[in-house]
Amino acid sequence: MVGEAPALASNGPLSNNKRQKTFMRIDIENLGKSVQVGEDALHILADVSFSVNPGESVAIVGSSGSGKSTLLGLIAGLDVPSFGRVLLDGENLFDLDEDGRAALRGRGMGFVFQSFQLLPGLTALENVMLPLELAGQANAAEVARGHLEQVGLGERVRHRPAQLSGGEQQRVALARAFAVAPRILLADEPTGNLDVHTGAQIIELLFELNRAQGATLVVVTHDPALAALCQRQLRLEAGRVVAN
Amino acid sequence: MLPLSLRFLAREWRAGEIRVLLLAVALAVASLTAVAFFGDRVKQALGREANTLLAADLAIASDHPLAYDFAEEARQRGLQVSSSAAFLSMAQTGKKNLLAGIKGVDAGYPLRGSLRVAPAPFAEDAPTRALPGPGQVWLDSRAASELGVRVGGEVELGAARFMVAAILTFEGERGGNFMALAPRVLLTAADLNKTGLVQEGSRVSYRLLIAGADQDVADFRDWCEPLLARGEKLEDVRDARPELRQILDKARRYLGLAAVLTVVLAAAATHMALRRYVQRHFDQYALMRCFGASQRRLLSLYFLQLAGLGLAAGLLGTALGWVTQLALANLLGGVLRLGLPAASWQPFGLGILAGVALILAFALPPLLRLARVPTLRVLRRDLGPVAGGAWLAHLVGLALVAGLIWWQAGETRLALIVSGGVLGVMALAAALIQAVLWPLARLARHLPPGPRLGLLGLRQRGWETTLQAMALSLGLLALLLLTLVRGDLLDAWRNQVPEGAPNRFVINIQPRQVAPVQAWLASHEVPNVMLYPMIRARLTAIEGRAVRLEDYPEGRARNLAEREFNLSELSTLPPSNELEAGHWWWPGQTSGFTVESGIAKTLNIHLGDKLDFDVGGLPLSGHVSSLRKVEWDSFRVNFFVATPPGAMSAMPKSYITSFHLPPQRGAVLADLVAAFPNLTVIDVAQMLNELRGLTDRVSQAVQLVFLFSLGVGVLVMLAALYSRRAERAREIGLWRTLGASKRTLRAALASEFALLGLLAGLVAAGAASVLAWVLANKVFDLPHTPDPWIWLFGLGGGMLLVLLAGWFATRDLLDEPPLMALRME
Ligand SMILES: Nc1ncnc2c1ncn2[C@@H]1O[C@H](COP(=O)(O)OP(=O)(O)O)[C@@H](O)[C@H]1O
Ligand SMILES: [Mg+2]
Repeated sequence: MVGEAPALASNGPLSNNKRQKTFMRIDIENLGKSVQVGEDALHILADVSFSVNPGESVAIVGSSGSGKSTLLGLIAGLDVPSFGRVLLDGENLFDLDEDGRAALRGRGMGFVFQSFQLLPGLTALENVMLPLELAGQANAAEVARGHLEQVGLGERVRHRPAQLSGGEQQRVALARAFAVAPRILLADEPTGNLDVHTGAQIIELLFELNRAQGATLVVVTHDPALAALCQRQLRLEAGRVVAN
Repeated sequence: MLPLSLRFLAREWRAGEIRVLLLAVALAVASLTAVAFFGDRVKQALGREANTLLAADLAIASDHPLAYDFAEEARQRGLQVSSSAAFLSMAQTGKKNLLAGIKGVDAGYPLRGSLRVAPAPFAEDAPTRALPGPGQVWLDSRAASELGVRVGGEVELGAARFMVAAILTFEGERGGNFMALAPRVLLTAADLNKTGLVQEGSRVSYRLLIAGADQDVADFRDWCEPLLARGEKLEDVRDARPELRQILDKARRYLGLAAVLTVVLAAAATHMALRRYVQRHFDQYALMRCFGASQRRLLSLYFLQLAGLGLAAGLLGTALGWVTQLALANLLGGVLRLGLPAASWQPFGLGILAGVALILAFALPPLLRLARVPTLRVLRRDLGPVAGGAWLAHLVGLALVAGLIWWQAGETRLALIVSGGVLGVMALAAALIQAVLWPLARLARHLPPGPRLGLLGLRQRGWETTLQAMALSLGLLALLLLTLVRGDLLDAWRNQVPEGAPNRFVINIQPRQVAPVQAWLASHEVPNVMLYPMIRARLTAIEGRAVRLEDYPEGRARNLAEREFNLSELSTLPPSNELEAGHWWWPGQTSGFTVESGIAKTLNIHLGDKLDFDVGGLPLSGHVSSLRKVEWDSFRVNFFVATPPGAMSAMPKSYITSFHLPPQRGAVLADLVAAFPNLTVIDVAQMLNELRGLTDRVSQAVQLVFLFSLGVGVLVMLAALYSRRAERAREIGLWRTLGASKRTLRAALASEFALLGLLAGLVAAGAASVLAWVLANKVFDLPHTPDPWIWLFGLGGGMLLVLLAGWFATRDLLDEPPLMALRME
């Protein structure tokens, strides 16, 4: 599979392209993660393989503790696997060092978390600006404001997270995720901390933004409603993919 | 990178988190620089002014014209040379006589500083390089008014008449001895010869004055020291105005102590504030890593932010310090009459450097911790930094604090004592927490719910509680210690010039006048005056060994050994004397000596030693039967050596007395001198007032610096209590969700803070009592009065203060809706 699309090579994840919008392909090959807990080895992920086509949306479902977050963390390169590979547009994420993976995330990934992960000291606007500023974008404030307007929070830019409801906080997080024009969006239970009604609104917004901007989407969720909206569902059980 | 970190810094500022940090460091820098600025100015001034007090860089003082031509040698070495000769003698006008200090000076006088003259008494004066012309004298205003003569009038000195050409308003070379207190008449050495007053046997004090480059003067000093004969001695600035020097030294030490403690507190506050700062940034760090920033980039981002903060704190603190030293200088400058030179720029650099260094040194360990936060934290909140050795970084911080302490203390001993005390307090606080908290927590289930929650909370946050207790103890220690030492210092200064201290001395009272003078004084409302006989004698032998100068290498001992003592006869131990060894006279004892213990030590005289004196050609000998400790600064008449009454009945003597006279009753003295024309009255009221003024102002300066440290101490406590606010908020939210009432929670918080305050107060009071005693004895050389109230202050005050600060730090948390509190992270 490596080098399958040589035409993309110059646009590959490792080259610093000019944010020319291309979807990213993900290939997971025999991925495994074990940790040592006291005397015993705990196998959190065992031999997981699957692919996500460019522009596809995939839901990873499974009960709590089945290893979903661990898998997502590995796809993002936040942790290293015990074995196996993650290929983004054909290049192995783990050939890069920690800072190389960070740079890669900075260029092409957006994140949405269950616990929102907004910084309490910053306003909504500043929270959205943060990844843009880190990427050295000049008009960070304008771009961020635009995205906040898109999620319907144009009036709340100066508010701190503590002054926003959970749903509003997650909308800020969505604006932040899409502000960097990601080619992959990784979401870890984005509705997990929200009530059903608010969760539904967030799901709607997520897919709307994804349609408008386009990104390969990987969503970890318990939420059948959210999973149903994805093109494909993967079920994880005890660290293995059981249904595809 | 820099603009980005500045932008981040601005946001942090708005979020309010870093304000405590900035304030802590700025206050620390302020007190450091205030002391540095002021100390620098005083030092410069003292250096300069002390030399003008001497009128030279070095002087050879003697009671006879110098045998060796030191002046010629000095000139050949390229040094400036002048000289003066001074003695007490009568100045006369047609109507009046005055015992005045006559001083004849050579060309070039003074070599350092300048004289100031005015055209009339109390008219505006100006410095001058000139000296009185031939046939002219300058009088000080006291001499002019007591002689009733104006500028242009005439004065008779011995065989010559002189025209009063100006009023002498300032003369640096004026020590604290009796001669210096007499009204002054100044003329040239050539004119002095014409008076014929200086003859064989006159008691003249000669001084050869030398000035030049430091090294040349030092070389000259080394060369001439071995050549000095009996009655000749070297003087330099260290000998000038010892009483002022002592007060200023102590004040400077106190400022040093305050500054050192402030450093410690600032370090503690910075440490606590930075810990919290970094903990609050775990999420941010992980998130920014997740968003693609490299570790190096993030660390430099934080580093730059903190450096910027340090710079701001340094600038702010230095500015504050500069303003404070202005206030200090205003308080003190006038009284010191030092004409404080402008502050040098050095403290600016040091202040800014200290600000940056303080923050960076303490930021290093937590920053390195930050770098160990796994990025995976964005998905798994429980992941903290990987544990690991930041001990090297901690060492950097400790070394920096040690350096700052040493720099501020200005002397190793003070630095060591304070450092030891601080470490002791930290260890003690940790030990006490271990010893008390765990057993107490076992009792918890017997307590009502509020205190129970509080106690369990304290135990559950084990290490954090210990840290808090340490910081609180340090804060309280600084407050208590500075209070105690300040008390000792102010007491000592107040006692130095007690209200009603004798301010007039009368000398030259003849034996037959004793009873009449006493009666006269009593009838003029000066009752119970003690008259002491005064007999000049020279110590010739100790235990049969001749007293030779060569046996006393040390400067002071040599000066004493060659000096003529004033012996007295004492029947009872005088006030402000304390028997240290031996016994007071047996009934009927007619010979023997009682010796002041200081001089006994210097001259190596022991209880029971036989002493031989030469009293104007007559021998006097006996054994030392007691040693006395004397409070010299009591301003009473005191004697180094005395005999039992009657032991010197055959020797020629005069009597001396001292008493206090309120200023408005000064006229009595004129009547006294009219009744007994041979008496000499010496008025030290002016000098006492000066001294009192000085101690008052120095006390104010000390209080000012004390307030500073107080502020930093309170800040440390706040920082300590604020440090776990977020966790506490979540805890409170959880408790409330689980059904705890506000009242219960309030009781929990109150009992937690009260217990912490009590423990910290206990540690601080204990440590402060010990340290105050050590400091008084080893550093300040002050009598120390233990103050039992300190325990009450420590325990009660500590508890109250921590309760108050704790309430302040958590007051808004209880009113948050539980959900909000749970969300606050
Ligand atoms: N570093 C680790 N050390 C120990 N156990 C871990 C570690 N990471 C994950 N686990 C465990 O692995 C399992 C899977 O975790 P996770 O991927 O978070 O599951 P999910 O997101 O599906 O709920 C859980 O039981 C979790 O406690
Ligand atoms: Mg999970």
